[in-house]
Amino acid sequence: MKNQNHIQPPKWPLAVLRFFMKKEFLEEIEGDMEEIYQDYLDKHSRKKAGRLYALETLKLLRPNLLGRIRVLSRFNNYLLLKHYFKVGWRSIKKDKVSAMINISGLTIALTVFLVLSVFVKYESNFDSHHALANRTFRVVQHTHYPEEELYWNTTAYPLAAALREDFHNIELVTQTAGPFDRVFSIDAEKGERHLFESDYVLFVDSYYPQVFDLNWIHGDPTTALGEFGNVVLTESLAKRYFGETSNALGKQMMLNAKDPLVVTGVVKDAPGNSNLRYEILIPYQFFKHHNNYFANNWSGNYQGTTFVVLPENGSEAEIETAFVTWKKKYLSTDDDQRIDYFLQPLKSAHTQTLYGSSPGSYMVPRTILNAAVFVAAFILLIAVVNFVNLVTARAGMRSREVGIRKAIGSSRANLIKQFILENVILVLITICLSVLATQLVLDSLNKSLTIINLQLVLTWDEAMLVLTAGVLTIIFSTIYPAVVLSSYQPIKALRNEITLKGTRLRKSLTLFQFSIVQVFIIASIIVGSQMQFFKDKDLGFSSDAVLIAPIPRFEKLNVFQESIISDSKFESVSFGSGPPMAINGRQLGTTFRLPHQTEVEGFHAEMKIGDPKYLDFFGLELIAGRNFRENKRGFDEFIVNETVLENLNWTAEEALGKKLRINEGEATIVGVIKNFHNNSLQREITPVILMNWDYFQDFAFIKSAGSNAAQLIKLEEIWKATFPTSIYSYGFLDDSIEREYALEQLILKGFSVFSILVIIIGSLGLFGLMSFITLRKTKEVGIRKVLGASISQIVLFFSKEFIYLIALAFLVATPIAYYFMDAWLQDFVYRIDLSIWMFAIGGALTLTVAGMASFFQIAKAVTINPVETLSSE
Amino acid sequence: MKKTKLGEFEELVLLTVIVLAEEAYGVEIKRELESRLKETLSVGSIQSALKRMEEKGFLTSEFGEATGKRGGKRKRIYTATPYAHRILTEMKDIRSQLWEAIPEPMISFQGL
Repeated sequence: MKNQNHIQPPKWPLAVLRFFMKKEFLEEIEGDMEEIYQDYLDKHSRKKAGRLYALETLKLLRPNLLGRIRVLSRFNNYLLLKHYFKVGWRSIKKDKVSAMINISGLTIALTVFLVLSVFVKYESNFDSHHALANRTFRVVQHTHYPEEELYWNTTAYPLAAALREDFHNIELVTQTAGPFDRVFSIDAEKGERHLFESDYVLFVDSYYPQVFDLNWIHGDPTTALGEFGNVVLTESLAKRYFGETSNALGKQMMLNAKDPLVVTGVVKDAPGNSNLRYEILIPYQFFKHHNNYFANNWSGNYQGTTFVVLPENGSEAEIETAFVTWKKKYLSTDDDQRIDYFLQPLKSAHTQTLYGSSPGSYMVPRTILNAAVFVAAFILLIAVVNFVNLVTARAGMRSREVGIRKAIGSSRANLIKQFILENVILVLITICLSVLATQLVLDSLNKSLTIINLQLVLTWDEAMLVLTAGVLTIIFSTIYPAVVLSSYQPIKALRNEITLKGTRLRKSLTLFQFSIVQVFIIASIIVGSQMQFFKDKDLGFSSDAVLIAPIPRFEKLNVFQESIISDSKFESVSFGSGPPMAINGRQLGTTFRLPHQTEVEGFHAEMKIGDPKYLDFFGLELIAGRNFRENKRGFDEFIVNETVLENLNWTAEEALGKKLRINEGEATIVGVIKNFHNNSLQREITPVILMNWDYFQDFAFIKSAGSNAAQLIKLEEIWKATFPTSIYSYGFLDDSIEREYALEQLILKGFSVFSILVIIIGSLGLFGLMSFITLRKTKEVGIRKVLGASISQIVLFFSKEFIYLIALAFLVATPIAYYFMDAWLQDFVYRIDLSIWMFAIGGALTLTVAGMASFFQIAKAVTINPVETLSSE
Repeated sequence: MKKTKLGEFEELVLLTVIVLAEEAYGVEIKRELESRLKETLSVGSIQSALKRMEEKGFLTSEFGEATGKRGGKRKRIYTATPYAHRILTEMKDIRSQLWEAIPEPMISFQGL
């Protein structure tokens, strides 16, 4: 018999059986199954027998035959877990205030942390989505002047072709021009004509799609941008004007009402985190054809950017070295001495301040991103500290519960588990809330900052980050209460003989928090004062009620002027290349020198074109000489500011009648004007040369007798009647000037918001500390009261605790705030002086807030009847 | 009968146990019932009925000898308790009384 029984049934069903079956049934049923298998073997093939056997075994899994599953029984405290959950939930419910404080504090901090991480990640990864991003560089230019050095991220147009020709150790070279604003018209089917303006028209050469990843929806990447007269649209633009993206293909649109372009491709919209913004891509040949002078000029640079891709393991230093001798081949001797080329990694183009923001884009300095990381980490840190503080303080009140638990046999491990579970509940609620809040904040940020095309998204990376933060919080907040409380001797705990330790640790944590709080408050006060200073500063010209409207060049300026002046709603009108202060960085650059000097000896200056009304219109003060009489095709008169004279060591009287040479030609100085702020207040006043040229008169300035809607409507009417083929837009000069401080405004807003958040979180921490201290001193207060202490004496007794802390924090915060804010202010040429009151107000404010935060705890401790506290023994 | 319910399948298994006497163990009960009912039964259904009835006090059991065919595992031999015998008799009586109470014509009608 034994010999026949060598065929064994398959093993796994038996394993299943052994796992699930009640142990006492196992021997009998295993035997039965063995017999059954042998029966099957007699009748069926081995394979089929095995299958039937397995099926039969699975049918044995019936409720009354199953044992307790052993995996679960390993956590045999499932019931206990349920109990802990219940007790945890009850204790949260019992002390709603402190649970709320705990949850809200941590939620705020986690939300800030998440939002900032998303933001920093977004801003740090500009253009890194391109496949070749790691090997792509932007060619940047340093221009030396006797007085200063200028750094450009734009370069001369012929550069790209020359690099492609001469450098065989550069893999790819591409060239962009713009983005520029252009007006387009599309003839729709029903004889309608869409007229629209795009601010993001980018001219790119045929190498562009190889260097940068465009996501093509329609069109051939290799040819779509190849030919003169082609145009590629982004998805959203194609949808807006052609309905479906596929409809757009092959359609014609007109640029500036004269040049027909055929749509040869549609690409997905440029991602938000890219410095290369475009809505419309047009082959570079088109730009070259229409801007022959710029496209062949090596001396200047006009919104053109050159990118190169180096081969794997290519060296940028090697190429930069080669530039030094190579450029002589193309640049004039003067330019060769002035101009140097370098390579800037594409990935740092968004955060490196030296070269400024890319055309049509914005930048976030690396320092701000680093500051954001610090702020995020600090806020999270102080919130975690609070959480730990509050949980510990609360745990202290439960020493009796711990005593009873231990007395009836709870192990230390079980107590620790209980505390962990309670914190897990709190932290889980917090995480859910903060993820929700983050999503809301991101949505509103994306909506309110469409101007910089912000597209922040919360991803799993951040979710993991927040989970890690949550786990760390749980660990930290559990160690103390869990370990210390669970170590109590039950008898002492029951008799309330436990003394709460760790006051010093808690105090130093609060000290740390309040130092940060005060740094933030002081920083906000200083940034705010600087902004106020900007607003109040006399700019040297008047900008009140001035409207600016771009106008087409060389067109009917007189007609426009007549119509405006004849209307009583307007006071005066003037034309020029721009307002006295550069807005959006728009300035015309040149160099000036004496007629006999070479270009290298020249000084950098801004050239400004106005008209005879310009000085009066903006209230610019003439200190010598006279105004222009008229604007001419060939300019022959200059009016200069005082800074020009400083460079030449002339007095105003000496300057009059002297000849001066600029890049564009030569003319006589007829007047000198007082310095005014021609740059925004972050920068110094630079030399300005006003000239009577009729070129570059791109803006009309209109002073209205107030600023109500009727005037705006009238202006639009006149404008459209005079220039029917162009698109009307307007702005207030005040607003434009204010926009120059957008970054500072953002910093101010950031500091204010974070100060408030930090104050809230810090106050919660103080609240926790005070509840801890008052709890510990309940009995002492009782005795003091019995012995006749007055309420005010006891209030003082407690207030000492936090006043002393805040004073110490102030001493820590002041030098830190001074150091950082002084460094920040150094960036501004026109800045406020730091004064004591800024720090004093910061300290006083913190003290007030701290007083309010401690008030409730102190009031509770003071008003309690000593009978209650003393009879608890 | 009032207190403890004996299901139809359980009754069949119980009767089989009595029939098989010394040989009444899991697989044998299954074989016997299968041949009588002319249908296949699963070990699970038999075992679960046996355990249920043991819990209700209709059966007792003890280990029998081990055989090679069972991979060295012992059989569990089931025996009906006196209580089970009494219940079975009661049920049989009730049934036969009911059968007798059925009026004649109906039987002959059925017989047609």
